[in-house]
Amino acid sequence: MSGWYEGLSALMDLSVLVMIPLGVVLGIAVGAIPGLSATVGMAMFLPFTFTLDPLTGLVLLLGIYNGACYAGAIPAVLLRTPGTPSSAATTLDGYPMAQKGQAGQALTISLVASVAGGLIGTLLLSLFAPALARYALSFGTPEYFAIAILALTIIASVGGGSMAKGFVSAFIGLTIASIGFDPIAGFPRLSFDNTSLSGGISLIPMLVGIFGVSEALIQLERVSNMHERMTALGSFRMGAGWVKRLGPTMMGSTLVGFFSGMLPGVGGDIGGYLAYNETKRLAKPGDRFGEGEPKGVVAAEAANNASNMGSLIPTLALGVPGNTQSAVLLGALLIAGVQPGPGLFAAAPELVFGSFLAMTLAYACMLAIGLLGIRLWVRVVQIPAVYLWPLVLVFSVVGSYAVRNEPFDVLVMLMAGVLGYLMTKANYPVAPLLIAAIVGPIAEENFRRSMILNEGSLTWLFQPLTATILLLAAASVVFTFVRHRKTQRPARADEAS
Amino acid sequence: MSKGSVIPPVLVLLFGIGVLAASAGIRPGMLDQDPGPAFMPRICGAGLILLSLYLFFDREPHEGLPRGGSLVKVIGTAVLLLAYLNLIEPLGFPLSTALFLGFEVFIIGIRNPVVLVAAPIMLSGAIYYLFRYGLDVALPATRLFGVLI
Amino acid sequence: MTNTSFGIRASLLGATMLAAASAYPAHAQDFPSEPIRIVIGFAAGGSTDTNTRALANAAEQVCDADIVISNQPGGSGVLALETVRNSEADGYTMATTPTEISALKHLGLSDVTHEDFKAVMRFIFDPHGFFVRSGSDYKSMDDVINAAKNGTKIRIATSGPASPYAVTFQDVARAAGVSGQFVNIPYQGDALAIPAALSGEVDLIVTNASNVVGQVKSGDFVPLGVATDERIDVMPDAPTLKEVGIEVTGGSIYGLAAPKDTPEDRVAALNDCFKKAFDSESFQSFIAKTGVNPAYLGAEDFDAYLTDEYTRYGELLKTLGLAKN
Repeated sequence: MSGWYEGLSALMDLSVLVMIPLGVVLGIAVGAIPGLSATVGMAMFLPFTFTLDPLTGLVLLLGIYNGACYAGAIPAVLLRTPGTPSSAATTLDGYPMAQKGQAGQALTISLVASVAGGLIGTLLLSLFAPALARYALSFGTPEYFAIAILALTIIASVGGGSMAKGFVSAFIGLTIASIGFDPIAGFPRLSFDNTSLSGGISLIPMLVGIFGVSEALIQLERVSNMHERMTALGSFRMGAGWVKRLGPTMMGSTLVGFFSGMLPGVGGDIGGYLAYNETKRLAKPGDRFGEGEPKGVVAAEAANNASNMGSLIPTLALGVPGNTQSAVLLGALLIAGVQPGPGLFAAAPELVFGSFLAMTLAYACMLAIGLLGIRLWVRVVQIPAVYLWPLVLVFSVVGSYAVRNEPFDVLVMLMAGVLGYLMTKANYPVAPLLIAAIVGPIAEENFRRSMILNEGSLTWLFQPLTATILLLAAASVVFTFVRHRKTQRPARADEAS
Repeated sequence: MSKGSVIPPVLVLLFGIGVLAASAGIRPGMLDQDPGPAFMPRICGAGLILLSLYLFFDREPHEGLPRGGSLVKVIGTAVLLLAYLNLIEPLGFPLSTALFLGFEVFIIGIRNPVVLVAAPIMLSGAIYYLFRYGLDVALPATRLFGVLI
Repeated sequence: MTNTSFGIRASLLGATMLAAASAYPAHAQDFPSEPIRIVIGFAAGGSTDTNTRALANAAEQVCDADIVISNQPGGSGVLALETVRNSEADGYTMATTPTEISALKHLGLSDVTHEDFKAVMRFIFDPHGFFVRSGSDYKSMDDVINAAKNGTKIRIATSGPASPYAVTFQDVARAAGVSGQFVNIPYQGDALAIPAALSGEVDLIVTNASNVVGQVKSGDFVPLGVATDERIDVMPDAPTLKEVGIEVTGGSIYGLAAPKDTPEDRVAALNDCFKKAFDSESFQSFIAKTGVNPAYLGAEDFDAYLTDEYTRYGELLKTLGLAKN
């Protein structure tokens, strides 16, 4: 307990406390703008932290990290454009909620889920970090492959109408993700000797295009006068009995997100989807996923914020960053003269426990800022449509361009937008494309490395942990298929009569 | 009940064939037992071809492209975006954004001069300031505009 | 702050105060009078980014320069190198030099080489090292090489068969005559390779020394050999490869280069400014804390170094069957 005490006394300093809301606000700003991510924001402020006291700097960076993760949900809900890749799963039910006139409720739910996921994540992190870090090491290459396959099974269930169309969408995503250097040999493929292509297709422009730009094109079809606006905002309350209704999802998704975040390189982008899939599998009759089901928003947002905390486990306890943002944090710790690794908790308790406490305060701060801010952010959709969607396009262009000052990325965004538009018109779901593009390379890399490690034998598929996860994935597909059949049959019968 | 168009499955088929053809030119891996860089693209190509055949016979009705004015708006927007991304570096962000917004609002069908001219200029300036000074993101500005801002 | 918000405002201010400024005498042609742009070929938050931003941060303080950082990741730094190669050679644009600059052309990935640039300076040389987990059967490089000679396959984590790590370990294998027994296991980055080496999925890891300073300190990793001429400050107990009888050096370089036709006096002015930044207290303390190995090379020395590395990579990649030309 003395660590907590030292952390608390280190935290009781005005300059540290000021950084908490500052970091959260900065994080919300970079997170809410598609294209700007927490990594960019943190890297920008890293040199600034050199001049600060270690805890002060760390608190600022953590505030940006967590603020951005929450704020990614805001444009995901309002404009179907995830502000950060980890909020991609939030669009699946968040945007339909906004379209049904429940934008206010969707935003409140995403905020509460983010805060709950983050707070529980912080608690798990502070209690179990060293033990969990050792557990994470038992996940080797074969287990990573199995996890990626489990995440890919969600494709079967987000397809909406036709499963085959969902798989087409997924294969297109896998193909796009294959462009550029391959993950094992480092050879260029599908790049036609073009330097821009061989660098690979960046995720963020693709994400912005396939969701935001395609939605803008669809909306612009029918806008013709100054007075059109989106639907009503609805209530800003969570709805009666929300604890009972959404609580279990929140808790389960937090755990899924937290554990996926612990695996370096897998992290938050998958966490949201994994949790969404598991939630959907446990759906009750009457839950309408994909059509504005609040549980979907809860699952995605609780999971991605919890995975933020999970990714700090390998960072702090092993000295290995779980994702790019925690790589920046690792840098900040080193510069502060602290060596992350197994000895960290004993060597710098004031810094470690001070940060944990600061994160708790940051989430409280986020809740307050969020609850006040929601009424402001939601005004975005009340901008007349004739301005709103062109402005979404401008922000999409800026966001895609700003990632690396590369007009090619804007071209990628435009093409992804047109592709998403055409796919929507032909009734092909776009979510599988994105999931496959994110998860596919992880599956491929770990499959190929497993083959190399095992000298060509496939026995690694039957190792206990790997086999268990793969069975879970198979069960998930079978389950979805059976359920799909059940819902399709009555519908077809109606058509026939 | 009418069936869906044949165009989407045909496009999927052609894309699948294209992917398969392009993956023929990929260098083989050099590590023992590595399935190789072409492994994934080949699966994708084959998968797309098989699925396109299935979808060719199992066509569900779908929405299809809009007609008339709506289609013009969509194509016009895509063309404007293409012009915008090519002009963003030579003209700078503020000017190219103002032009894009003006023409886009025109395509939508607005003819009010305030909305067409004044608002785009103000908005593009505001966004430039937001990124440049609020968020520390450098956007291209030509010398001409650099003096003003 | 090493960022852009104050760039133009500050340079306008700078222009009016130029007459009063004493840092740059008139004969230096008032260079730099505009912000200097450094294009980094890797994403924000990575080691190249962090190291370069720290240097730029110091440069802004010590030599009245405004510095704008832009990240242009893609293709092991190719994108950024091509951008800078094609930009105006006036000294206002520089690229960071990725280690891969010595390999890109050999691999047929790009035609860009060090010859397209004028070297400005190298500021960090982060040597590659060979590390095993504590409790490994291999206690020294000798153990590894003897096992390999007896037919045991040694699985080594790197970041790809053509990566700089792989070039270093193939150089060692060539020197020891055990090329066939070292099996390259590629990981997408150190964040994945380090846990694999900690958990025993691979026998050995080749990585930048600075990446594992913490693990070496805590005893989780045992250093078998570091590919430098002299022991490095952050790992005083780690032997160099030379000490164990292997004449191989190799590491990740962090340097700056300007387009080929940049005038000599501007390169000299840039070198002067960034050398001051290198020597500054803030950068030196950054180095001491992060565990990277400071290794200043002036413009000419750095150019000679890059030329040598280009040849060495060419030879090694050819023996590996990876070279296209």
